[in-house]
Amino acid sequence: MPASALDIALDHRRGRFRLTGSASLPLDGITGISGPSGAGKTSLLRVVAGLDRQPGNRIHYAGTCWQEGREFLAPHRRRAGLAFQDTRLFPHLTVAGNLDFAAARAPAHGNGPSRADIVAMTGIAPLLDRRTPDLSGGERQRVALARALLSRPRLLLLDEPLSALDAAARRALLPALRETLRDANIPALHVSHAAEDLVAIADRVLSVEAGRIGALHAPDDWLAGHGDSADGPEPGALVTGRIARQDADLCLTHLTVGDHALALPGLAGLPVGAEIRLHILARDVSLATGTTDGLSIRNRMPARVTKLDPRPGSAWCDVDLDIGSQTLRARITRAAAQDLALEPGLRVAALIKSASLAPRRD
Amino acid sequence: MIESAPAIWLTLRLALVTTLILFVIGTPLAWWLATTRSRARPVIEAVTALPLVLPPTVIGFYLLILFNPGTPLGGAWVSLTGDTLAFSFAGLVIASVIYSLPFMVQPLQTAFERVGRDHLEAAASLGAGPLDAFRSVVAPLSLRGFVTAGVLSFIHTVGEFGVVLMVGGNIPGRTRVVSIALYDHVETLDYDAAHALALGLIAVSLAVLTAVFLINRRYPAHAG
Repeated sequence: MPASALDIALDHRRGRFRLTGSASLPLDGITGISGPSGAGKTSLLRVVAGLDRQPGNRIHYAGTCWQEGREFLAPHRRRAGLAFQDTRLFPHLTVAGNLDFAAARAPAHGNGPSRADIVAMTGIAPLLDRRTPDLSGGERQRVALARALLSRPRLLLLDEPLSALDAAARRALLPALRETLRDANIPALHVSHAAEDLVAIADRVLSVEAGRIGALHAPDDWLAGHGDSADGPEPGALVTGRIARQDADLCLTHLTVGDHALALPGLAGLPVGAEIRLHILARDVSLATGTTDGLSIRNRMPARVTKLDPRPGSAWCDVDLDIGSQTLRARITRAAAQDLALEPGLRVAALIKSASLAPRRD
Repeated sequence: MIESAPAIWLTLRLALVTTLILFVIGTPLAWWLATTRSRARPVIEAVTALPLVLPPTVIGFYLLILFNPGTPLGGAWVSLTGDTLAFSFAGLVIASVIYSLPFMVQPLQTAFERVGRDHLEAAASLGAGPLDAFRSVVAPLSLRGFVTAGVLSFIHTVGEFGVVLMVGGNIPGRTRVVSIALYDHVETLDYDAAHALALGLIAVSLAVLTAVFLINRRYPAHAG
């Protein structure tokens, strides 16, 4: 048992609901928790936070017992800040009052993101004097996230914390949140049903399905569909890039991905140099072996075929592509794979429409 | 009216002391009732509500027996203070606290239940212990409940008659409260004095209740 891990072993019953299984989650970076609704993702966070006290659960934080047998550390002593999906802002306090509530109870020692940084990151500066019942759903979630961060938690628990924000706002906020947590060295569990969000922020993904805690995957493996989940994400790949240039006129952001460039909309407002993690769906990637003049598709990356995975019984063939230290995945028809005579080692161009990289509607 | 002054003063003092004691007793009791999962809860709730349905004379009768210097409580009180509980101001206070208990506990319990667990869980996850969370979240969100409970307890104590008559009797300046004085005036056919007290009680009660409803309207409960 590594000391710097959150070890959980659950035998959790509540009425007819059960949540069982175990996992050892590194207390380093962000662990995404995926699964269909009703699978037990929120229950898992509640048990870790100490809000549900069913016997039979076992929680150890970095070797310290939070719950086992009769031992139970009260939730307010765990310092596991929870950003609830339904926000639970205190209605008798203003936005600033809610932040003060958390800050006043945060440990004085230890470093964490400053209040100014948190307010700027979540974009709630204009809301500080507002009464919380007057806020919109998205505003409330931003405040709840800021409040949880201000409590300087030892472990941040995020339960669909941005579900009321639109996809574009989430895409802009997630990289900033990731950076804030990394700089402050705050480990986090992030529950989301949106693969795009998890990939944008998580260092690893834990799947929870039908009351059963599944395995821990690297985000790329999880996207490759190698997970044990039939309900998992659409096949695709995780591609990491950095913002090289913002083109305000044409509303495009230019990323460098290794030696390549990628242009996409929806990231305006993020600083040059920020790390961006994209979930590029396999079905959005096309392949070409010859010249590609006269196309509207502007993202063209030279790539080498590393693996062909024809899916018998379907029209599809998944193609793994090496784009220089990263992997891209394309889903083309088996017919196209035959016509292009694809085989491992072949050099091709991978084409990605910028429009397919726009924030998804959901 | 001058002759009624001691009775009015006594009544206000009794109602004030009773209400303050009820805040101290009623708040934890209401909190326990609002949050416990104990099986004893319905029993305790019933006991708390009993003064609502029992004739005041039943409560007065048993208290009178309990206050007798021959019982442990009555005896202890006599050796402690040199005075009997029956027919004393202290006895009146104890009787009023019991008699007005549901008027304190029920509004508070309702207010606490409306606050719900969600905000308490949020407070706990932000590092607030149970007392801290009660003081900084539950109490401000239950402000209306506290106002209602305090006013109802106060007015109900002002208006009680049966228990006071049984336990306190009718000793001027000591146990003769307004309702007893009013009864006295009627018995002696002094209808002018009776009118003055009765109308005064109606006017004060009406004014206080109107003020409470106004405050509740101006400062609506914090929902959700």
